[in-house]
Amino acid sequence: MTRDKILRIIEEEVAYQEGMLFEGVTYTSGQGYRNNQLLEVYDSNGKRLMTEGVIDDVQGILDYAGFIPGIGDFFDAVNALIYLFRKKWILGGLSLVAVIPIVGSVIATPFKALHKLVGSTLGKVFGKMTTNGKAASNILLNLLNTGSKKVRGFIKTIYTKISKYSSKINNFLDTLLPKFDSMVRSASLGWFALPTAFMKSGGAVVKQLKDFFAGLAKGSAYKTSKAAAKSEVKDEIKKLTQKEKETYTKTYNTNKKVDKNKYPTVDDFLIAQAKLKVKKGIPTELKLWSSGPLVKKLQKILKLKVDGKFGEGTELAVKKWQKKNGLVQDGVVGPDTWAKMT
Amino acid sequence: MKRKIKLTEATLRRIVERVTKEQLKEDANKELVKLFAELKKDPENQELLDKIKELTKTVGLDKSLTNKGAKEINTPTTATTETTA
Repeated sequence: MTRDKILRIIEEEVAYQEGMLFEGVTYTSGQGYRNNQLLEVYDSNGKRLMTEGVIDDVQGILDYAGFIPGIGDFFDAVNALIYLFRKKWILGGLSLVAVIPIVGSVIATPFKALHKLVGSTLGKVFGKMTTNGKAASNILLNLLNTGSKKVRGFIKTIYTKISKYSSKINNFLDTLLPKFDSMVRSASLGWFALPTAFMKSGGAVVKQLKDFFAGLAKGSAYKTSKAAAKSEVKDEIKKLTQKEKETYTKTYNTNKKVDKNKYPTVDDFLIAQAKLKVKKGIPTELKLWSSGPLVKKLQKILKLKVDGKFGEGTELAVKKWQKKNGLVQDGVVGPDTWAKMT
Repeated sequence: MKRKIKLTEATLRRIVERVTKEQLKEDANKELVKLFAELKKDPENQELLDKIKELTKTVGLDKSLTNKGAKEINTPTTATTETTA
């Protein structure tokens, strides 16, 4: 047995002991869970597509198929679909993307990079991929207008490849389930096959996946040319004063707490500051010993005693809030913290 | 942030049981694939058929049988032999 499989069992059992749940899953009493894993699948209208029994059968087939020579790609792709059925969006989405022939290895890397940069958005994309493929591709493509330069670059790589090979991707998705089923039947002399319920609901999911890739393939219509991106940068940075530009550039170059993954260039950082300035009309950061009405507003948000002074108590509360919301715990209310707070 | 978790005896027991069961299932699956390959070459081999029937139940694949598979697995070996004879 592989190390990964053993670790997964330990992870599940620890989660069970600690009463934790897995990624994206909300527990509802009486619904199909075992070892904290979702075992029933519902469509977007709440209609039950598959039951625990069906998923168990599919997993049984997958376990068996894992040892059939030459079935690897299809096995991995069906496994990725199961992750998506079980609402493990990121794991399922990235696994599926990686196994698509020809483009998989090329687009998997930018998808992984996007996950590091915009994890929650990518989670939304993969979450919608199985129920509304068109909407999922739109969320991703909208990042071309709102994302940083690096994000835009990754998405451009993805849709350039997808546009080129979209018909091959669709062909692979179309043949995925029937071909896997026929390979299992052939290797087992017709004894075993994927359950009919899984084939039906899998077909509905494949349709949405095709919509997703078709939507991405049309992405070239978005504003992505280098010239357009450059003019956008200029327009945004104009909103900052010269002094502000100098200060922010200095902050970017000297402050180690600036997230270089989120802001790969000074321009990205300046754009973020300019947008924040326009949107909120607030200073760059609130930190220890800051004071004023914004500190009062901050204290109200954190449900602290409102005195308008950023003291040690406020700093501690900010750190706790940042920890709870998965941000860097520096006790400074910078653009990221403020944007998430409000 | 890493957090230390103390495992209870029950959790450890569950982990060991599941890992053991998974290992048995994995071995049985490997064996099953081999047996089907052999059966392809020698479809009449009753010994192979018996082993496949047994392993199918061990790995829990008896729930994923097609009509053909169900028919094979539910046919008593002796009866089949007698009828053929």
